[in-house]
Amino acid sequence: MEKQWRSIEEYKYGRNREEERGTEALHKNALLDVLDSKVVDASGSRRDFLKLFGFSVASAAVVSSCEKPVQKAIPYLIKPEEIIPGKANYYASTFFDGTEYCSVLVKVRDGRPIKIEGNHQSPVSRGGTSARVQASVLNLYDDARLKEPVLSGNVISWEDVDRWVINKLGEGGHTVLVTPTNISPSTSEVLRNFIQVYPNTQWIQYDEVSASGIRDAHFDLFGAGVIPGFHFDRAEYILSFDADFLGTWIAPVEFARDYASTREVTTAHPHMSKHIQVESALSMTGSNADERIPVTPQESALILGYIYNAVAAASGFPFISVPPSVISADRFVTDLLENREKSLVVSGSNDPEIQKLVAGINYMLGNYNTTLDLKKTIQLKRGSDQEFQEFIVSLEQGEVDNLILANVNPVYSLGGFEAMKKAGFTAYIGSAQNETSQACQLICPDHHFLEAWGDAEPVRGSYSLQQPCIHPLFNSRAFQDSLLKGAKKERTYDELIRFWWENVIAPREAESNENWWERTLQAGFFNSGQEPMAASESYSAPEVVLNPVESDLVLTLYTSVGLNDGRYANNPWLQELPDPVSKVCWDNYLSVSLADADKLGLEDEGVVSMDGIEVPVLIQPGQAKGTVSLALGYGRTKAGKVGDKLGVNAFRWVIGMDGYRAYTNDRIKMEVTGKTYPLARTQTHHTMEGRPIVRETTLEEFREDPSAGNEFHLETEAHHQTLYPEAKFDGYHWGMVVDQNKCTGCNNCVVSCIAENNIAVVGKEEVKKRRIMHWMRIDRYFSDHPDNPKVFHQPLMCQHCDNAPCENVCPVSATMHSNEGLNQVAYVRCIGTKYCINNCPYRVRRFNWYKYIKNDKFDFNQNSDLSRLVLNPDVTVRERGVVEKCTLCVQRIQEKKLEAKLEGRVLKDGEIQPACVQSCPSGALVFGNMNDPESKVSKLKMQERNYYLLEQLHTLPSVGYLTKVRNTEAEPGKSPDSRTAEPAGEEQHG
Amino acid sequence: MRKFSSLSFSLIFVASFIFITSPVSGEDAEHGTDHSKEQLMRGERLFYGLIEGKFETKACADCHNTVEIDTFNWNPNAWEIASLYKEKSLEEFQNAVLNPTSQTMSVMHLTFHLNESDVELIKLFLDEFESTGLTKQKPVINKIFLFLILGVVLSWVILDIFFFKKVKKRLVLAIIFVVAVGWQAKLLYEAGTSLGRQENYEPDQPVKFSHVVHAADNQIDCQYCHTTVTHSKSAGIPDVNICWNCHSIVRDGTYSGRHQISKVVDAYEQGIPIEWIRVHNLQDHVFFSHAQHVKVGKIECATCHGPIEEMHRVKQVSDLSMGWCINCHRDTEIQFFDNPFYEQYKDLHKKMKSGEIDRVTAELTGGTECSKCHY
Repeated sequence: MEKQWRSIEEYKYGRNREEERGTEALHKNALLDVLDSKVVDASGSRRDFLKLFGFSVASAAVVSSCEKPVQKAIPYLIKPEEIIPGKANYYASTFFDGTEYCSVLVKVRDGRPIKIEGNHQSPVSRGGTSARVQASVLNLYDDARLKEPVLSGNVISWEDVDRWVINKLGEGGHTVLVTPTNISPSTSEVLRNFIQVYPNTQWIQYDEVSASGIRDAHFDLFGAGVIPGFHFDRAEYILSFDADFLGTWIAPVEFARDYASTREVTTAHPHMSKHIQVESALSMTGSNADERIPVTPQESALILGYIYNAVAAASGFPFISVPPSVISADRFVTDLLENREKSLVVSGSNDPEIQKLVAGINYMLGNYNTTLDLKKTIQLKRGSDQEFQEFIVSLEQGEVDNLILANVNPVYSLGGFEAMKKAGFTAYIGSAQNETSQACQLICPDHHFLEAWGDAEPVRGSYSLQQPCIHPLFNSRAFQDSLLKGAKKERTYDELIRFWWENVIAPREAESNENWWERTLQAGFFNSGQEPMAASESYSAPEVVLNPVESDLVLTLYTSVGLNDGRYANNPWLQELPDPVSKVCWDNYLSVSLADADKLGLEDEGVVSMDGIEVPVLIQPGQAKGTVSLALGYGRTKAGKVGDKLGVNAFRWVIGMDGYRAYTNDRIKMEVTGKTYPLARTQTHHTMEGRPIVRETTLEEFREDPSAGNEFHLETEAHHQTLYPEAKFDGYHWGMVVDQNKCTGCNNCVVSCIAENNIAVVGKEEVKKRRIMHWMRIDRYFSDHPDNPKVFHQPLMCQHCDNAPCENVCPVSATMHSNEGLNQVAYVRCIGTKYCINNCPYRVRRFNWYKYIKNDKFDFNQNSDLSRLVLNPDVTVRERGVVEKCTLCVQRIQEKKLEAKLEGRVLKDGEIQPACVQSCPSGALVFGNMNDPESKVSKLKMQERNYYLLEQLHTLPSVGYLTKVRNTEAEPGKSPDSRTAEPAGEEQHG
Repeated sequence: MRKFSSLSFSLIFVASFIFITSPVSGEDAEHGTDHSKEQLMRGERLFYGLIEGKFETKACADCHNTVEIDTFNWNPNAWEIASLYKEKSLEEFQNAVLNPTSQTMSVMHLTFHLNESDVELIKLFLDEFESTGLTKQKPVINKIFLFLILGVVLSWVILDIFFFKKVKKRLVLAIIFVVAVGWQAKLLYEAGTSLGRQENYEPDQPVKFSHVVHAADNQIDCQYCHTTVTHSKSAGIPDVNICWNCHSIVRDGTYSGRHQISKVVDAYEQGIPIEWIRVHNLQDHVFFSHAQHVKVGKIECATCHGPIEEMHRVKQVSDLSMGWCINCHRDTEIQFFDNPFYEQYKDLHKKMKSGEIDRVTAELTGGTECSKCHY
């Protein structure tokens, strides 16, 4: 195994800069500021606390003669039948935010939705969710939500809104309605109703991050402007050009599950797909690739052109003219031709010329109907850039009288929207405030998706229902109802949706119609069962003109896994979510390659001025030379108290290219400013001191020897000796297995854990001091040269060691082992010595440096009555001064055990699912009883790939890891022996 | 001189003790000016039964207390009546007093010799009383004073030992010292351990609901009202529509007459839920499930809640301390063989077979561990 490293400094100098500066000084500073009364909550500093301590013992006794406050118990007047106080209900619903679709189960406790889970029965998302879906429940309780209808700054009633709007639209002017992509069949019906009443209305779908190029390319080639269905599970050879299909591209949850299913390697089935990623910025998807080629966007277009011609030559199709490419793509061509009908070429570009090449290659390889699907086409990303461009032009010419913007934010995502002022009347319909709502005359609050009815058709023929899980919190009204009222219709949207489903979508057979609505609502989805017609049968070879511009430096823009296109900027869970690759949170930054940084004289965390805007720099291993990258979604100005003024708005660099939104920009001017800007990055926290952490092998080696790369495991197993009595667990011994081959690093588990366990958000400054509270983190390691490193993602939670180092150092026995193998913490007993933190080799314990709840210094979700509603009542909110860590969701273990006991039955394997496991889109995490040899987790632990982190320390962890297998040729000269390179340096823990 | 000092000390001690422990009586209510003072005065005297020949046995105030009391009283207190009739007409009040409809009320009210003008005066007084409310008893704070006095004694003893040296018998000082310190420690310990606990807590409820009447006299099963006890962590405070099952018909209470049940009727008809006072307040960091104990463990309600069926007003009989929980978990046998869930505990089954243990307690399956209740 090669030496793994976490940051550029560590690669260069062996230590991190922070560590170079001296951990001691860092700790000293860290400790001193806890005494700083400015930061500490109102109850005074720690020193004051100690002063008062003596008095408090006596006063406690005195005070105790006072009565406890009277608590009331107010039952329902008439209890709804399905509600049992103290028990959660789960409602199947649909998440769709305009870009991303997921079938979800909403956990509702005492009337409040508190957690989103994946719906395992859904044929589309199949139980997976993304970090954004997990965090969306917090948006329901966002302080920045629109609460009342407002006209020119005055709160008005809905009746007045309707009267006003009907009046305005009745004048007969040209009305334009802009919405995000709409996949709801019933909403389309509502819009048809609206347009019938106001025929002079134009409806435009607008995607902040557009995939218009794919649709138009398919229109050119197949005569149908569709996005085909992608079947990554059927692909044995995946060639991706700048498409972050596991992170943010089109339908990442669906793709992740499909992709992961091809990455499952066992001795019985030693096969996996081969994934090549050609890209400029190191994306999360690229970090999972078997092989990654860092090139500039121009170069990747040329490679595509070359491949196109080579495949065309082999298949008897006409050539196109392309300039020659520098990098040889012959081996990709060979592999593609070998894998006809089971390969897949994708591209994240929005350039229709490039998408035509991609579609052409896939067609010539016979991939349509196997890995690509023209029947079950994807209905997302329906916006047309051309149409939107025409609308902007007509707006600028003053041809638009009434402009209705629903749940879109063009003021932010166009980098300014001056043309809007030309419209006579502007209205915004949406659930939360943003730059656009502030610029409109009329604001109509929309429901959050958890308050509203709705439906979706994410894939042709697959329908999904959305039901309200809570009574609307504010004086909001569904977007569809606003339109129906505007169109003077009597019918409300909830009546319409049921009518639409029962009469249009419902199956025709009479017998299956009984209770069909109730059954479908309960399941959350409906499959028509009928194979949809293919969108097209014909194919015409494309005429492609590739004119890549030569440029020294190209800026590529990407959507971050946390914030997407910026719509989640006010969500503190997502702001504090470290980026899967750079591990930076709370900011966007310019990723620069090491070579370019040396050439331009850039420092890590330095600041450059790009077209006059100051942007911090991060030297990103794997960034293609000649490119820099910046995340979209930051730099919001009217998002709310959390999201404002973080990072820079990168949408200003999105340019129009022949009517298409291009997310690359080669016209940037960059100057070094000499300033520095420290970023909040988490990977350099919690070091495990360079021990062999991630073990890897290649598919070839694995076929020869399943324990390849994992020899050290056998070695340590053979040497295990102990003076302690062997730990024995009767009944249940909980354990987990993490398949590092399936984990894509998508961060879904991290947010799921935050939501389940009431984990506090600490803010940028505290993250910089290494005080992030996440119980679960995904470590990212690099190996090889920083120009094109190999990347590893490793989910890390408490390892629940059977021989736990943390337990025997606790002076008050606040942490101890349970008879089910859990390492438990009793918060009320903890006195905060932090001995356990210092003695944990996995760095998974967290200390509450402050009181994070009801503290104005931490003005995030736990500082308002509204957003505290999201707290899980089954998990204690921790006080200041105690240590906390992953419990393997002991509340869920206890709940399911009790359920089995109440029903008088054996607990089934897989019944208990900790939050991280439940919604993992790739199924990388498995939890179960290790005492049961038939359980899934036991079987996985029997695999040769299984090992334990730092197993040589004899901590006997309960969490096993399966070695990472890459489908690459074994590289000669790199023996799996460098694990012996354990650093001898002094161990200072972070 | 010496004699005097010790005597004065003990006098002060005893006197202050008596002074502190006696409850302080409240001030009289002020009178309004709308009506003549004499009328109000007469109304008040009538209510307290101070006017000769009007009451045979008990006067109004004997049943309808005007002072906050610790003991349980079936009858509505004076303020409740006052506020109920404040907005109502005099005729209604006269009718209610003189022609009682409920059985309990008529037994007592028929012994009155009140005429309509007397009742009018009483209403005058009650309308006035409504604004002042029940007289509060000031809390008795003897423990703090006892603690402080012991502190004074201690400092006096220490000063005497080192400076005054007035007491020649050092042994007396030593005994006083030890007793005072010990007593203070005891007070601190008691106060400390009872922090956040409320054994014997017995608050007045908004409706005088009696478990004696429901559970004992009428033999209603606990689960008829506490419906979720077998499947949720919460036993379920019954919602008003459960009360309504019977009280849509039953309107006259055995002990309480009509007044208490009318509150339930009002709640149902006006759609306002009843705000009960929570008696058993387990700390928020403790997870407790009724279903686990009642259905799985087959524990009787009375094991923790005491003889509820003998309580007119519910009182907390257990201290709900962790020690109390743990002790029970150590001693209580679980339903080990009846529930297939426990099949997984193979070692325990083996031990039972071999006779190594004769019963399986909650502790043996991990019932005394932190994370079983705290997470």
